[in-house]
Amino acid sequence: MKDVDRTTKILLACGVLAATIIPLFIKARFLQHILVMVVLYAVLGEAWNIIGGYVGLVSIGQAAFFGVGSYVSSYLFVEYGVNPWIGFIAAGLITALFGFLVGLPVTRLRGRYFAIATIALGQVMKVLFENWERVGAATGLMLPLGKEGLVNFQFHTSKLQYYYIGLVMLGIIILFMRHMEKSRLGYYFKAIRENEDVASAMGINRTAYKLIAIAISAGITGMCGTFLAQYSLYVEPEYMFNHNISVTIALIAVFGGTGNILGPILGSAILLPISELTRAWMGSTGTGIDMMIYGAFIVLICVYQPEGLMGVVRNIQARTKAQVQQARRGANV
Amino acid sequence: MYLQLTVGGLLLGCIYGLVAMGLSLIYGVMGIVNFAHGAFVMVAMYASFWLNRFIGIDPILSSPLIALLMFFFGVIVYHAVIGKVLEGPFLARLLVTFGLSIFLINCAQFLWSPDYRMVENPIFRGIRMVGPVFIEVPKLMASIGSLIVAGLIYWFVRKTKTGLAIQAISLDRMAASLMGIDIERLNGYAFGLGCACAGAAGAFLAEFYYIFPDVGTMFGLVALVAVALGGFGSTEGALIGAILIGIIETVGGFMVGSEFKYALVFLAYLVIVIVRPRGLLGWGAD
Repeated sequence: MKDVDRTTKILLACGVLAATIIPLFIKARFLQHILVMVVLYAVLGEAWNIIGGYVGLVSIGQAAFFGVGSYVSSYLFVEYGVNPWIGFIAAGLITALFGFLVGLPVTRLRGRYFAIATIALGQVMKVLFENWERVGAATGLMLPLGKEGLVNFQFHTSKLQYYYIGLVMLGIIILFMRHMEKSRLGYYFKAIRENEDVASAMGINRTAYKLIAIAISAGITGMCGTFLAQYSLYVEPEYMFNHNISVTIALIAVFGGTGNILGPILGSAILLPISELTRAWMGSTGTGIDMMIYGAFIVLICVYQPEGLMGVVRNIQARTKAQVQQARRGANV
Repeated sequence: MYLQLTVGGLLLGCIYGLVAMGLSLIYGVMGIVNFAHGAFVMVAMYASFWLNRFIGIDPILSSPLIALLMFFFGVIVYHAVIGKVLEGPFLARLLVTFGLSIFLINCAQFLWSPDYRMVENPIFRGIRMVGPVFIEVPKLMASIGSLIVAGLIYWFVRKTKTGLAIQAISLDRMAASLMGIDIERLNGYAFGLGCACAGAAGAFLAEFYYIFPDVGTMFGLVALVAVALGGFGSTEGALIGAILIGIIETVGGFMVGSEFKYALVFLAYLVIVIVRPRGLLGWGAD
């Protein structure tokens, strides 16, 4: 990475170190919960980023994949006693397959037709699971309490373990995306985003690459579903297929900035604490004021920060670079 | 039996059609997919509920007033929010109305609690027998009203000078601007008109439907599907799509169980756009 200068590297290293060490000293369960949500949504945001940011297919139905993944592992666990880690892998594979299958017809659509199709998909999946007796219909599934430990993917005394599992997931996905950005796959994705028709004319099989992107994104999102199922130890349609999950995922990406690795992490690190805190402070009153603030916040972001935080960072970088160049030119004269 | 269901679906479809028409108008002129449209319907339903409660006007009779109020509400929303994101990236344009919708729904919940309410003593009630089918009178009046308002909007957009200017913007923004059309002002009018459609539909719905903060969400989504079905940018398409959806919802809901009726509507959308990626009568950019 030549384009990353030294200070950025040091800052990133500090960030990684802080993300690993500081949580060890956080004992309040609620703060731990916020940390878990931040890493979970950072991973979800990255998964969204693969299709939304790199390929340019805006999905507002990620909850469909999320819910399917959570149900796969939970059903396997409740019915057959399959270890959640195997369920975790299975959720990833099955959701990826599911993403591939629904992607087959949907990748033909563009822009807002695609976005609305993903909304439709999310709603259809929710209704189907609400009425599917086999997986508990509207009441969902309760995961039986097991022995605490990494093997069982269940921790009762502290939430920190979940945080570290999430952090490892985030680390893996960041490495994957770093690799993807520099690979042929990443360039194909970006080519499709910039101009689908031209990309296709250059010999890129757009349908195939869109499908690959959707499958990867869906698989990761499904694994996140398993993660939340293990975290809350129950799954129900209203919770796992909630439309707000889809909106929040897309919003994180918008807020942080799309098409780069850091954006969704930044977005999640800022947005999730705000949303969890307002919910904790005002959500219990049942007046909806927490969601009111959340809604207003979305509007404000879209109006005043539509390029995302990474857009701001880039602007500052461009400005300093210009200043440096100007200074140099001045020195030469 | 199926005749009965089809008629029911047709009546429902007309009301959806009015909501969808407003959505289509807004989309056609400024390229905004208004996810808050259902919330506007909800606001209008509450407005007519309170008008009925305090002044005693029947929702159907108060519909012109509600439509007017919603027009001004829409103009304000346009200038406060929507106009500011028009030049922004695709995602911001898509999500801003989501935020607006969440905000309005929870505002309503905050102000008026999540309780279900219903207009007491509406003028139109009961069921009439027309030929071989039973028709609910309030639904019939609501759909006739919807068609009248839809007709008025259609006339306004096609025949008046302001309407023609709005059309010009949706055809070619740059050229319209060069012809001396004040785009900002007319965008505001168009958004207001879209809201007025939602407002009138809300007032009609208040006559016979429960009123609660989340009531609009499904109407908004269904209208959105109707617009996409008809093809973004086509007003007639929106109306056709809406009527189609009304029929799918009632007839299909009867055949596979009413809990699946919305799933069926969305499936219909998926099937139709897969066959025709720009809807039935769509044109223009993605």
